[in-house]
Amino acid sequence: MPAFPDIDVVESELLERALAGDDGALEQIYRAFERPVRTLARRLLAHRAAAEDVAQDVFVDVITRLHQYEGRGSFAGWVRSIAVSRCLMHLRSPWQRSRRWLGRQLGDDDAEAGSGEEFWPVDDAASAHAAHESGDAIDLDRALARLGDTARAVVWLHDVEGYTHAEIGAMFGASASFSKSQLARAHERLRVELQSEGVGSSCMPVSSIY
Amino acid sequence: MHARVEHLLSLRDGEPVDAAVRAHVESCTECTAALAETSRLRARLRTLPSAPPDERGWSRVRERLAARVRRARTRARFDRAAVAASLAVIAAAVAWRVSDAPATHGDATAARLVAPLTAQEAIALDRVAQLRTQSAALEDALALLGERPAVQRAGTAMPIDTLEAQVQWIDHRISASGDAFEAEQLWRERVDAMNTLVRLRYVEAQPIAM
Repeated sequence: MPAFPDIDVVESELLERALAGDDGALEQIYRAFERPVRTLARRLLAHRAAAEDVAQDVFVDVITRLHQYEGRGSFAGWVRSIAVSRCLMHLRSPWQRSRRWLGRQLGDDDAEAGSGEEFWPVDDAASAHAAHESGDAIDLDRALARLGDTARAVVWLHDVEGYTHAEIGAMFGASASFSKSQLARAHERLRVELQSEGVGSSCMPVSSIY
Repeated sequence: MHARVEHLLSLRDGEPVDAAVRAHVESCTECTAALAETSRLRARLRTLPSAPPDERGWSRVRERLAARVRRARTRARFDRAAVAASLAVIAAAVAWRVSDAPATHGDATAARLVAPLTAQEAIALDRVAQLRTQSAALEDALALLGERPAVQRAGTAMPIDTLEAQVQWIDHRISASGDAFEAEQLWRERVDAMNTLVRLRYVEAQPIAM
């Protein structure tokens, strides 16, 4: 999982060139953040086409709002906050919610998260060890996609992106307790899903623990 | 009594946890293993594969940016046209009122009789006309679906009833709306509600599998 690269756009004069409309500078910013933004969108939204759509909107936002970046905090953090906001806006959109609901009613797999969409292939350069582990990743990827929208977003934002419960609660217009309970729910669901997938042969089966 | 997942996650994240719970987890092999499992799951989430670079990603973003610029230009042209149109309407109305008004009132009185339409109001009224057309099309689609079935789906019956009541309430507010901006907002809400209603009625109209 690629972290958001901490590019110092001010010191590298990249921002200045990008603000002047330098195509090369804009592309440089895009290339630096392409993978983390697309990964974040894909993990939060589960539906691939929607995630790609939102990720592109994120870059349009970043480019058109570059003048609003005031240099407080890292540029990466600023880009990430735009990406998270865009994803959550998509999840909260009444239109998208009714679309997902309708998809479930019509049995339209493509409209619903966790429908077994193809995961990303591992990198070409992946080692044999990584290839062996990819099966594990596939199951976790599917289990993650089967979570509800909120639980999936919370577990990703907290456990992977490192947001605090207070920050996540604020994003959802709720409290830190809301985030904690959603995280607990996500872990419980993931545990059950992974058990049913028969994953984790290298670990002790969770059923033997409880 | 074993520790709850929420407690285990708090312990994992170094957050304050009740001393009794902490003591139990430290002395209980099952809870210690479950705690380790939460950390393992987080580690696995962090190593999930990221989105591969999209070769056409940057060109797609550029296309979106170009489309946004085109839309902004079109909107600006439309705004200018709307302003020109509203000025023409104002001029025509003034001319009509002036010619219609008694000669003794003079030009100043005639001008006061006219409540000029602002450019923004002209634009809002134009949007209202578009929304009314959309709303009428949705009404036609609803009519095509015919009467509601005698046997209704539990999942759709209540949302449909709620939406129908919502549309009625919006209609009532439209009839009492005072200005173009409020009317635009209400018609927008009506189109959204009708859109969802048509989709739900479509689902409801599908045969129920026995």
